[in-house]
Amino acid sequence: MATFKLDLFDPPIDVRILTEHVTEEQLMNWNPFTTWAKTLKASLELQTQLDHTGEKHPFHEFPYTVRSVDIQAVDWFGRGKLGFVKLTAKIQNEAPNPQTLPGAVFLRGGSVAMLMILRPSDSNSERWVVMTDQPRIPAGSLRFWEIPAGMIDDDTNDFSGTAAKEIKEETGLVVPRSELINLTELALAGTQVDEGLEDAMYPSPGGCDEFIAIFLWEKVMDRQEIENMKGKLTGIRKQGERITVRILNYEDLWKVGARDAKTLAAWSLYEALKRAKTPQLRALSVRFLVDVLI
Amino acid sequence: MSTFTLPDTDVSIKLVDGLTKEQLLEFPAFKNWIKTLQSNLSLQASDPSHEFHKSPYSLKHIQIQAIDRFGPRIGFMKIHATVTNSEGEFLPGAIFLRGASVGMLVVLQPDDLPENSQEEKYVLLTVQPRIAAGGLQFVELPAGMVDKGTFNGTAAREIEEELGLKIPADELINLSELAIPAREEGKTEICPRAMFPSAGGCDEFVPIFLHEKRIPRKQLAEWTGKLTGLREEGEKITLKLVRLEDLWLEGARDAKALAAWALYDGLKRSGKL
Repeated sequence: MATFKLDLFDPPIDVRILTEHVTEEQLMNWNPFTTWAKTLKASLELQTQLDHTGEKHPFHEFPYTVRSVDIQAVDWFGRGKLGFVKLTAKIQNEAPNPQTLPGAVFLRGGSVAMLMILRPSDSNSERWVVMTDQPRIPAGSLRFWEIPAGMIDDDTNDFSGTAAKEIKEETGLVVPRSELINLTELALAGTQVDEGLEDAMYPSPGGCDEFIAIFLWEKVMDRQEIENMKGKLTGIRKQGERITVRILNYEDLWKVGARDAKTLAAWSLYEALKRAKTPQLRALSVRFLVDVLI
Repeated sequence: MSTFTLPDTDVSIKLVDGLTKEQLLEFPAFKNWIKTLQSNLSLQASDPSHEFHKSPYSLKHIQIQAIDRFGPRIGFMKIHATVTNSEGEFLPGAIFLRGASVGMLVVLQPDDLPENSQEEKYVLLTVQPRIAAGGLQFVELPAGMVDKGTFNGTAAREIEEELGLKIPADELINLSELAIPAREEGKTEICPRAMFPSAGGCDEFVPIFLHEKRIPRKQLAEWTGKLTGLREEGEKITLKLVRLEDLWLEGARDAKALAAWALYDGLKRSGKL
């Protein structure tokens, strides 16, 4: 069992590595771990400050501090990439009857989800959504429907990952960063929050650091192109195909995707923003030559 | 650290120190997950049109990596499941196992408005530390459990303490089940009718419940006043009241809040609610 001092927190704390499958160096080079520590540290520092309305922090009198962290388990992805880390943080205050905060954390970092909407050029109201259908062993399912999830590639700036690859193969569609609208960012524009949380959706903030930026990608296409895609993608999944691309009528999205947090989140933000008819959305719609307000 | 075979299967399971075979097999999250998985894996053989029929996947091994206890009770487990087929292909099997919880959409409305009015509806939200997200004031839809006939947990306790509002199970509408049909056309998998926050890495599923209540306008004003007043020093969890139409905005970072807004809106507009 290795122990090291983590000076991302003030005062520095002991990190005990209880698994033989990761080293201090690997952990410190892993973005989700350092981001989590820095975000938490910044939030803890706010305890002794006044907020943007001049109010004292609720934990002003007996602020919490991180005392120690135990790294319990890790999972490595292929090509030497650290995937997940399970840790427990001990977080306590100095009240006469010391209080602790629940500190079990499943660390995996952020990702992105795409609400990919295809609109036939001959219709103002018709919309189709690109979905993925794949095994999700944690859910015990071999056929779990979601809006596409993945990453934004550091180099190409495109939507990337297994879903993106399959979508490109099946439909030819490529989603560049420049054509994406971050719906959470748009929703939160103008609001002020003191803590440095991401402009993203947190699926399970009680136990997991994961945050998912929900992007909108709307594209107007020839009806025939959409029909061709639909024809290719409906019906029985190809034998052995790990991830299947589906095209779904937008009207059915909130029901068919009701098991997927990303789908419901994307639908909410899209619907609410459209109805709010915010100036930002109006400006964006002009920029992308798509009337997203319809 | 011992290894055993899951009864009636060929699945080998490796435990960690401090966890016995009996404790694992009794852990509700594990029981539910493995039952669901085994059932859905068996469809591969029984359904000739199943996409994996030719080379079906099977569960070979489970490694328990870590457990977190709340007192004597197991709260979370981190496991790795080896799911592979005869072609040597693997399905991602890293799982944060924690079981189900519920999201509670509490909608309050002054009772002097007409019965079908959609005006002046308010939603209760919680504000509390969420260390995993790195924040001390994370805004969410109230979360908890529904057992022993009521909504329970930290949020439920806070709602009862602050407002005297108890939420009995028989005054709940399961929005997830209203939206997700019981036996879907062409689909024969077993899957809970609930929202899965992160199905790629976690077993957690969260049915979204609705508790809609019409209360005297005066009471709503009292509660609003109470919740915007001075926070008690050091109180870990607090509540806030927001307009229903702003739920998506006030809860924009919370999967449960966005899911609740979506389901309520979708079900209302389609006449199912």
